[in-house]
Amino acid sequence: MMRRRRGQRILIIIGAGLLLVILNTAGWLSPVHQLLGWMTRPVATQLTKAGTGTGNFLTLTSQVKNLAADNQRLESDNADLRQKLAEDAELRQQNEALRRQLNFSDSTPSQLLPAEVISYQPDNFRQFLTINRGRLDGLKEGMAVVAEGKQLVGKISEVGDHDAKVFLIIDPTFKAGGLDQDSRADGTIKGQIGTGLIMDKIAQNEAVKSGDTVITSGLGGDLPKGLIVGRVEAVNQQDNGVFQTAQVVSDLKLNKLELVFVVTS
Amino acid sequence: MKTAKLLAIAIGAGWLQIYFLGAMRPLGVVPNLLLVCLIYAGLLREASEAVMMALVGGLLLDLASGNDFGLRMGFYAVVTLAVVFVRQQGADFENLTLVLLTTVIGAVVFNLLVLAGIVAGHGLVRWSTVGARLGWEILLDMFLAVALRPLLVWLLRPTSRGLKVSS
Repeated sequence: MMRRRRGQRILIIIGAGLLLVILNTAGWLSPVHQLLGWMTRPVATQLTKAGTGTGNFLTLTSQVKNLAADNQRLESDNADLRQKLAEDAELRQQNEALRRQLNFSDSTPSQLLPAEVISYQPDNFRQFLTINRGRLDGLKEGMAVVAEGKQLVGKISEVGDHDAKVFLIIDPTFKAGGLDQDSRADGTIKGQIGTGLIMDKIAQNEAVKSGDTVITSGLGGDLPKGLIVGRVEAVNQQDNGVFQTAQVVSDLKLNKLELVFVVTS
Repeated sequence: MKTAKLLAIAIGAGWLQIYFLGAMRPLGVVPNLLLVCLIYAGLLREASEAVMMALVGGLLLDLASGNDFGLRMGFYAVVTLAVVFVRQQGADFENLTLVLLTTVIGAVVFNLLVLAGIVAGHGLVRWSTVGARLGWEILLDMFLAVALRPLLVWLLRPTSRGLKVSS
């Protein structure tokens, strides 16, 4: 009798679980989700900050021996970037002057809404994060999310009233149109487990090379053109292939972000 | 009171996994703390209590995840029931090998389920990286199963009635 009652209790609990899945599929679990998110926000934020801090400390401790070499490399990069910046400023002025002469309208400046990262995906192969902005802040599904310097983080995949889930570019099912800024070759950016990103479907005759910057092409999706995706690390060409592929790495530590910006226009 | 305590343990483990370990990512992976807790719960508590913990912890993880709602609730409930079944065959929590073996099998099965979803969605998978991450996660899960053993046994051991547990 006792055993039968226990069996019934387990069946009721499992039935409740199935009911939750059905309610979520129908979208009826959303208010509960919102309420839970709102109630747990203070604890969640503190725990995430503590986790990020501890992770950063452990990473730093393990990389102390590389700091001198990293510093030298960064100084060299800094000098190159300063030179590029000066050249870019010159080009921007020329561009603006030419646009004025041709009566071209300037491209609309994008509006960025800052958002704090509340949590990351709690397993190892999918890549999402949750931010503390939602529908009431004007967020919509498909909006691009960037970090400082307009580096692409991902796009909004699910919006609640006060929070939203961001589908990261390194998720293995992420896809977007990409453009090599140097060679102007276009292709498809895809996330890949472990290596970061792959730029696929690049025509064989395009001269893509290591170090090139890859940006979003704005084609075939929600993402605006010109967001920095990363840089080409390696190019894979096959003699008899129609396309070539490039390994692309993002300069962002996408699992250690604390603040991101949603492109709202 | 008893139920509240068990729910608090499941919620605490879920929160730590989502917020603390999810942000910290030791060795680049998120250890499955909830799995470890539920294995001990399956060995120490009544089946209905352990399954209830699995459902609540799994629900928290499902809500925090961006995909596959229900996968975690279902997985943790099945693992817990499997552990309860093994206990009913005569095993007990003092058998550390059993705990570690269940941890390894649970971690492998869960990650295979997630990977199956990625492959079905035509995602790109580099199997060498998958192997490395899975290896690190298993090591961390086993470490947690050993390191948290005294605490979890103390928290989950029935005090007034129920199972016979020797110390």
